Amino acid sequence: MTDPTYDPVLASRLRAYAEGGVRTINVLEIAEGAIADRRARRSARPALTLLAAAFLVVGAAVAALVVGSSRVPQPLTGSVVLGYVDHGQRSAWRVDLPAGTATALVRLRVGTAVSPDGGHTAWVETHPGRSDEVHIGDTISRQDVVVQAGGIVWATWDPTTEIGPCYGCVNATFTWSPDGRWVAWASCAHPSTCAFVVSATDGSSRRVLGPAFPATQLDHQAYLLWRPDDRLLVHLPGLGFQEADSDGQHLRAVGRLPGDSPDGRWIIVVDSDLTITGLDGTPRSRVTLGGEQVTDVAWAPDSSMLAVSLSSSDDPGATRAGNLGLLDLDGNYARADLLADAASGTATWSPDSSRLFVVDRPVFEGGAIVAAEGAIVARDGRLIESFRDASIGVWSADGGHLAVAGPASHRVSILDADGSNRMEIGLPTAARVDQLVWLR
Amino acid sequence: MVGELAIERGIAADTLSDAAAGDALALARIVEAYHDDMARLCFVICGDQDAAQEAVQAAWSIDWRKLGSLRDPASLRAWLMTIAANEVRQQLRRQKRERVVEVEVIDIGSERLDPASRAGVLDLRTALLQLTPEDRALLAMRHVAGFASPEIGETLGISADAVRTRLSRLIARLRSELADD
Repeated sequence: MTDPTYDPVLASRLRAYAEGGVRTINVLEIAEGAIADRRARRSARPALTLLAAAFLVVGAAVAALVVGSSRVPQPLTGSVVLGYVDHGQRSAWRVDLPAGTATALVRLRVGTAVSPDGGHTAWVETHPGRSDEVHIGDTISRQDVVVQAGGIVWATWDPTTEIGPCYGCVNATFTWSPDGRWVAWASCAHPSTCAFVVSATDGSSRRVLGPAFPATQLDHQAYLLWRPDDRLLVHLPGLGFQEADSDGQHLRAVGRLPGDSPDGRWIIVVDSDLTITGLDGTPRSRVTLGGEQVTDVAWAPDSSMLAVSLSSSDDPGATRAGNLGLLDLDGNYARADLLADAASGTATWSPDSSRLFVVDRPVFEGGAIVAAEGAIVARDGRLIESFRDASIGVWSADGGHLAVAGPASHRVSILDADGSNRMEIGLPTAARVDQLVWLR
Repeated sequence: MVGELAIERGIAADTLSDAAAGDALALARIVEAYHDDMARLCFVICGDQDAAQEAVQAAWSIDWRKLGSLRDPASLRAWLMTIAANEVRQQLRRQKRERVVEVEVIDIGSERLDPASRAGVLDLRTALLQLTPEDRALLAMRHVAGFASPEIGETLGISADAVRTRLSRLIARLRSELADD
């Protein structure tokens, strides 16, 4: 007799569909997390949200590569916000320290981005036949405001494949002001008619900038960025640089372009030498490159020193020996004592300009870093600490801690600024974290 | 119980008691045996892999706390699946934002299913997401987890007869909606 409550064809389809819920897991981590979570709930106040997944703090044991320190560890508090590519879109989580409790902020949304201060996320909601909506979410309250995008939100191309728009690429859809108060995107009524839109992150203000441009010009002749002094610089095809107030008001011809340094006073000139000059072109500091190529530069926040990633090969596609140079405004030059046998990556300065995190020995596959070591380097080039599986590093606002994520370990490591007292936190995703921000 | 999903994974009684006492390795053996089944069930109910995994992980916290009170070790699987189903349904109720269902996902550079398979999956997904979470739970517990109507009724707080009636209607509805495949 046929069972009216069971359809074998439907069952087969449902079981196939249900496989979409399965992913690779670490059973021991889950088990330990479940036990730790229940024990924490018994003692913690206030109660944790049930939407937060509890993850095990693997341990405060110092990793083998990290040299022990007799320093008194600085109290660890606060949160980090992380982002990653997720099935062609992007997701974001907040991880609260020191417990390592993770809260999902945005899951599988188009173009998800995290503000530089960690306070907001932004993503795109698409609606067939009508304009996109930009959602700007608060990473603490998890409430979001909705801003009309004014068209189809357009992302820049994937720099490795040149296929686009790449809504899964990091920082391809939204541009933020450094203080996280403003966010901008390119909105297109048609691929040939796009404009920049600037919005306050609380949704209180929304402004469309200047003349339209074709989507093909995005990130080539059409781009914008906020300077440390809050000025908004906009480059538009046929117009060159324009500047505006931080909210996008009063778009005007730029009187004088600021320099490359955070304080706007210094410009970098690269030929056979690397020269730091004033805005009038007067050289301030110079180093002869000796045939090495400059692959990346990073100014110290106080504009007193420039970190330069150097390569010995002029073939941009080659795996090449690399190193790090440090040039200050007084002409002092130091080489960082790294064991680099591949191109060095971008250096990230601590907020007090006393040291920097650098990706040492990155290994690329398909344009992404799949293995890397990280290093903390002092201003004089001295290696403070090195550690495995670190491809992205960010300093806390007070400079007391460094958060690093690697391409392989599915963990975020938190270290003191001298590289000691390393704590590892398991992540709620097996994906490679490509965006990591401290929540200020 | 239906088909291969009826296979019990033979967790020994001492593994259960060790896990209840806080032995993470013992609990990990249980996790390894049942996590994926729980995730499959939750995914059919909520339609989102991350949400399903989140619900299952939350369910493990509950499971561990209550493990010592499980009277019949032979019913471990059903017990775990019930907790997971309840957890994901509670999660759906607690959600403050409405989830936008993306039928067409922009997926640049990744592998794609062949168009026919993809269309079939999307049709089923669309049809499922038109149902209430309780109806999806009914279907999932019967057709994915292999529960009988009385077990489903206990989980959802309805009678076995009500389960049978609702399942019959749901199956007829889905057959009609998916008939063009």
